Amino acid sequence: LGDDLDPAHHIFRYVGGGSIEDGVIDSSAFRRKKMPDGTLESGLSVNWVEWFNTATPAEALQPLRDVFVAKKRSIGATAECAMLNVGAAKEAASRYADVSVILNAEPIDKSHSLVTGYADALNDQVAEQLQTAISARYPARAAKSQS
Amino acid sequence: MDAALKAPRSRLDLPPSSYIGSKNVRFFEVDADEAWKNQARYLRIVQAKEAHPNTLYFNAGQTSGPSVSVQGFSHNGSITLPFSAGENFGGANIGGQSYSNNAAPIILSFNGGQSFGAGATISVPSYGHSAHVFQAIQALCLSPNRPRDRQIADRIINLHRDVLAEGEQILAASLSQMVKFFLDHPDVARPKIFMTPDGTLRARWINGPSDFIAIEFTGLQLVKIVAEIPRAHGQTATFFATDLLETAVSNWRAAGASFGR
Repeated sequence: LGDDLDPAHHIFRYVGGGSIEDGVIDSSAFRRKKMPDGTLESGLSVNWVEWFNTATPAEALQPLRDVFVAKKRSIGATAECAMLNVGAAKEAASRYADVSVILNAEPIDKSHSLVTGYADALNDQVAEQLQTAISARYPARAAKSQS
Repeated sequence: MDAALKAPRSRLDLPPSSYIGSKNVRFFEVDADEAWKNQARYLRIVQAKEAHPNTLYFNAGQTSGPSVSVQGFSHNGSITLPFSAGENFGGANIGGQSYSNNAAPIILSFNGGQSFGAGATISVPSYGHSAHVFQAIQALCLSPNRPRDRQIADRIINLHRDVLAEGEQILAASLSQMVKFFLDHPDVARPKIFMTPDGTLRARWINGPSDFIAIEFTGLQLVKIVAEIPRAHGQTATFFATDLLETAVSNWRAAGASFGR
């Protein structure tokens, strides 16, 4: 596993439309998923914003969407990308566990990273805390251009 | 709906030797009723049956001993299962790939050369197909607590649509449990309702900063509770717990939680 990301940097977490109502993002969106064998995935999948080397986080969204498309991921019309500062996320989670945020590059998802290093039993607790560390939110799907 | 699909069944009905060896393809009806709701979100194969949506079928003879469990397989309208011929599943817990696609029948295909043991059970996840959602909506719309329950029905419709678009599905047992909860508790307010990454529904009553309670409808007797409840001296009590659904509201009200109203 890689080194921790710079605490000054940021991560995006894809939040499906089912985790959002009336502008509220449910903390379960930050839970590690249960795998078919009953264990939890090894880390919470996120994307390292600064990897895209764009002037603003918003500009990193389109290349990230392209990655989702390449991974054949369905992007819901109401889904969002929640942005968290790495340091703030770790600080929030530290109420229950010292988590790591590490680069976990995949062949077609080079910015792929993981929030990891905490016990399965703390999945709900860490998720609850990470939800409080959201600093910005963006539509996951690109807006249709007006013609 | 086929009445046989709703008939309660107590256990897998696989005669010990009927399917050993010589049958080419058999169809097994999946029990979709509430008899299995305490078995988490799993359905069980119950008996040979004609082809039907949500059926399982098998090629000639498979081995599956007691307690076999099939969890999290992939189905995309074609036959997919991570099993191969010659494996003995006796007592095993078989993992698979992630569940995806929402409209296709649930089909498991086993390769040949195996046989069923007596008392075999195979369970598969039951997700919220449109029929379950329709039944839930219908129950809420027929409820005497119309304004709130109509809003909840509308939310379920929107949620169902949103998660389908992302290739996800609501767990049927969770949906049924949540609907029953609201029908049984006309005195709780309409909460925010979400679907978790595991397909369960979660209701969250948000009363203010550091003041909420969330119930996650697991489909089991014990539901998951997360709550932050204001206490004296500006302090907040935080809870991560499980509780019996039927007594959760009274228990957590006694602990200071508010379900609105």
